Order: sequence, then C-alpha cells, then structure tokens
Amino acid sequence: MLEIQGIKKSFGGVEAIKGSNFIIEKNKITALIGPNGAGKTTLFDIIAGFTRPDEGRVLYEGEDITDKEPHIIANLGISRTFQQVRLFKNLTIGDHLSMVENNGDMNLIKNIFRKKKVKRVKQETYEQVLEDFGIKQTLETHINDLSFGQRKLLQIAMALQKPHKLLMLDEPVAGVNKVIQTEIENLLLKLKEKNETILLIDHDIELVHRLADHVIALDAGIVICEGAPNEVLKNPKVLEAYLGE
Amino acid sequence: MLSAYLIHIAIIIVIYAILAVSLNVAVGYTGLLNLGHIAFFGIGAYASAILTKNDVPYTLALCASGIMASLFGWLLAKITAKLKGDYLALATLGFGFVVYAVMLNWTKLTRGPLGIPGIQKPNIFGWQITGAGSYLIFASVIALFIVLIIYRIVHSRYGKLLEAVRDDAIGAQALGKNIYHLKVQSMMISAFFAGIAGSLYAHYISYIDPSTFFLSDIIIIFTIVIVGGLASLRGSIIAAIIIIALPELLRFIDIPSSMIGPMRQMIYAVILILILMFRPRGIFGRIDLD
Ligand SMILES: Nc1ncnc2c1ncn2[C@@H]1O[C@H](COP(=O)(O)OP(=O)(O)OP(=O)(O)O)[C@@H](O)[C@H]1O
Ligand SMILES: [Mg+2]
Repeated sequence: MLEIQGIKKSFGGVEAIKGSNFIIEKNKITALIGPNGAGKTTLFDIIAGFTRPDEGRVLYEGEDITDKEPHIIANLGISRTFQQVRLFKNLTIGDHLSMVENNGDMNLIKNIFRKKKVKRVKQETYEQVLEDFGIKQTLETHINDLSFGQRKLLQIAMALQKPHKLLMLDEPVAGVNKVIQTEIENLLLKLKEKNETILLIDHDIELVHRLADHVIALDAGIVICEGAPNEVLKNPKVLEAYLGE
Repeated sequence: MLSAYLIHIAIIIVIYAILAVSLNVAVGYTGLLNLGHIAFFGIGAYASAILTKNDVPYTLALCASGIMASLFGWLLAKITAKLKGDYLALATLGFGFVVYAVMLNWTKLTRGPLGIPGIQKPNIFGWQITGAGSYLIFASVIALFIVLIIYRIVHSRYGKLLEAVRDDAIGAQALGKNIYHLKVQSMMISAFFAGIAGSLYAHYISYIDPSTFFLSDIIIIFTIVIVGGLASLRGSIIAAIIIIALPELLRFIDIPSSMIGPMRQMIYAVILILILMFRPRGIFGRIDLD
C-alpha cells in the first residue's frame, strides 16, 4: 500500500530522518513507535506531503507521491490526524463534517446558487457520527466550545469520515482522559475488525500490543527494529531506546 | 443645500461600504491581510474612466473595472501565494505603492498628477443618471446586489472553506482542499467588487487623480472593517455609516477648515485604538484570530 524508500530529512543541523525504509501493508494496523524526537511525526508529514524529504521516495499504491501537494495526497485517499489537533476554531462541528464529505465545496459558482440548508438526511448522518464517537454536542457547537478530548475525537471522526484508503493517526490517545482513551481504543479495535489500513503513532506500549499487526520502532531517525508486536516490544534495542539513558 | 450634502455623504458611505465588505472577504473571511485593497479601488476607477473616455459604453466599462481589478487580484495572490501574516501584509502594501506609482507616472495612460477630468455620468441602457439623488439610488442598488452575492458566498459551504483557510490552512489541506485556489479566488472576488466601487466613485466625482488612491486611505477602509468586526458583513455596512458620517460632524463645529483633514485622521486613529482596546472583535465580530 505504502512504501518508504531511503527517506532522509534534516532541519538545519538536526538530522530528523536518516534513511528510513519500510512498507505499510494493506488491511493491517502498523504502529510506529519511538521515543520523543525519534522522527515519527516528521515521517507522517513527509508521507502526507507537508514536508519535502531531502532524499528518498514515497510510493503509494505504486505511484510516486513524494513531490505532490498535501491536498492532492489527501484526495488520493490518505487521511490523517495531527499530533497537535488542527480544527477551524471559528466554525461549527457541522461545518467540519460537511467539509470532509466531498470537495463539492470547492466550486464557487455552484455554491452561490445552491440552497444553504443542509439536507435533513445529512444532518442525521452527521448526528449519527457524533453519537458513534461519543461527542455529546450539537452540530451547531463551535470548536472553541469543545473540550480537548472532544476536539481529538472530532479530528479522528473527520479523518475516518473522509473517503480514504489509508488512515494515519498521530498519537490519537495522548493527553485525553481514561474514558475517552478507552472509547478511542474500542473504536480502533472495531476498525481493525473491518480490516482498515492504519498507520498509528503511539507511546502506549500496551495499546500498541493490543492493536497492531506490525510494529516499526524508530530511534533518532533510524528504524532500529520491526516485526510482530511481541517481538519488537521485547527487543533489547527498543527497550533501551525507550527506557535507557 | 443640506439635502444635497446628505446625499453626497450617503453616496460616499455606499462606496465605502462596498470597499469594506469586499475587503472583509479577503481579510475577515480568508485571513489574507491585504493592505493594498485601495489599489483595486484605483484600478477600477481608472479602468472605467479611461474606457468611457474612449467611447466604451458605461455598462461595459463598469463590468470591465471589476474584471480589471480582479485580474490584478489574481496577480497579487499569485505573487504572494507562499507568504503569510506580516510578510503578506508588507507585500500587499508594496503592491499598493507600485500601482500608485504607475498611476502617477504612466502619464500617457493616466495623465499622471493632472488626473482625468470630465468623467461622464452613467448611462445605463438609455437611462441617463445626472442628479445626485438618482446616483444614490443607482449606487445603492449596485451595493445591495454586491452585498447579496457576497452574503451568498460567505454563507455557503465554499465560504466555510475560506474560513477554514483562515483558521488553519494546513488543516484544510489535510482535508484535500486546494488552499492556493481558495486564496487566489478570494483575492479575486475581493478585488472585483473594489474595482466596481472604483468605477462608481469615478463616475460620481467625475474627476480622479492618483492622490485619491494613495495608501493612507487604506486606514479608513481598515478602520471600517475592524470596527464592524472581522467576518461580519452587517458590521462592515454599519461601521461604514459610522466611520464616514462621524467626522462630518466636525463641519458643524467652529474649527478652521484646514484642521478638518488632520482631525479626521485623528478621529480614525482614536476610534481604531479604542476598539482594539475595549472591543477587539468589533461591533458585530464573532471570530478570534491568533
Ligand atoms: N519544522 C521543524 N524544524 C526544525 N526541527 C524540527 C522540525 N520538525 C521536527 N524537528 C526536529 O526533528 C526531530 C524529530 O521530530 P518529530 O516531531 O518527528 O519527533 P516525534 O518522533 O514525532 O516525537 P514526539 O514523540 O515528541 O512527537 C526532533 O529533533 C525535532 O526537534
Ligand atoms: Mg510526534
């Protein structure tokens, strides 16, 4: 599904990624783990087109997407969340859900003449999404009025609602309380049953153990180990990277 | 006499309301800090004046003024595509300077500082507008139409996308939205209507020269947008009335006429500071910026 070939990236003097290679398989959950600053988010940004690598290629379904713009990559079916939640703070939940549905909103002329009211059917679909994700708010609620956890949930909901083939989640459970954490985990387990292709970044070893089919351990910009969860999570190099120093 | 004066003020208010509402599309809704809006106003005014001087029918010239300004909006947006915040503001200010310098120095086309006198009154398919009263009606109808179109735009799904670009452009890209297209289109829409305002101004005053379109006047338009509130059309319209009418009260106070100009600038500055201190969202503003 996705192939990372010899990716290198430096920021000024900092070598964030030092030549990474790996493959993300279809219908599997792949976890990307590693200590703070290992380069996990940088890899996400490179895959999604937000950061240009200095060297290397990213292949998605055999197509080279390395130099494509982020919106093009998103429309090819790579749906992502951000470690630092990115929502539109002056807009409502309904506005957000309507945006991920399709790109009909890009057409200026059509939108000037289109009736404004969201059709009732859509309203019901959106309300269902909120219920499924346990976001106890109305569609008219502004993002500014949501809790941190609710924002995180909404961002995941949007990434899922957006038509996609590959879902990339950057620390979906970080910083939220136990209740929401369990909620998100159950959701991911459901996605696993549905054979979604997911690339997941997380620090919670237990969670990775329960969810992932494949684990890639990154340290200081290098893949130090990859394989089945119980192998990788017992690997001395991985343990040292996480617990060492 | 007094009514003629009031009609004059009303026409100026209508023109500034169009300017503010159109600027709000770029600044308030899309977050493009454009300090060169007045250049679009000038381009529209000159385009319309020059075209009608060359026997182009008024209605065509009116449309052309919008289209011309819009083309420059496209140009400005393309040049500044990768700039944000302060850098964008500076670049647009530079654009305003360049346009002003061209108006001043391309004398073959614009007659430079001499300006263009004797700009004809509008003739719309045979309806000759001569009096100020009918001009007010004409300008108001156009303004109403413009506000209606912009209202439809900003309240549509498309308008929400513009706001998404303002709130978090990277987030919008991650949803598959082409933010460059959106920024360019927003600037073009904004410029188009400023160009129309320019035409309305030129054919009302019947004389234009570069000084009307000097950058200092961007402060008035910006004050209107800020006082009314970012991303509020109603705010821009009401603020246009307040901001244009308020300094007129100076005329009724016994001060030397040479003082009126500077006093007017001071009033704008004071209003702007007071609003920013006590009501940063403006009268009807609903949005927060970083
Ligand atoms: N835009 C940037 N400019 C400069 N340095 C950067 C930038 N982005 C990342 N870095 C650096 O690259 C390295 C990898 O950062 P990255 O965010 O990818 O780590 P991470 O594995 O996601 O860490 P965390 O678990 O803390 O989120 C870090 O040293 C970071 O300081
Ligand atoms: Mg990270």
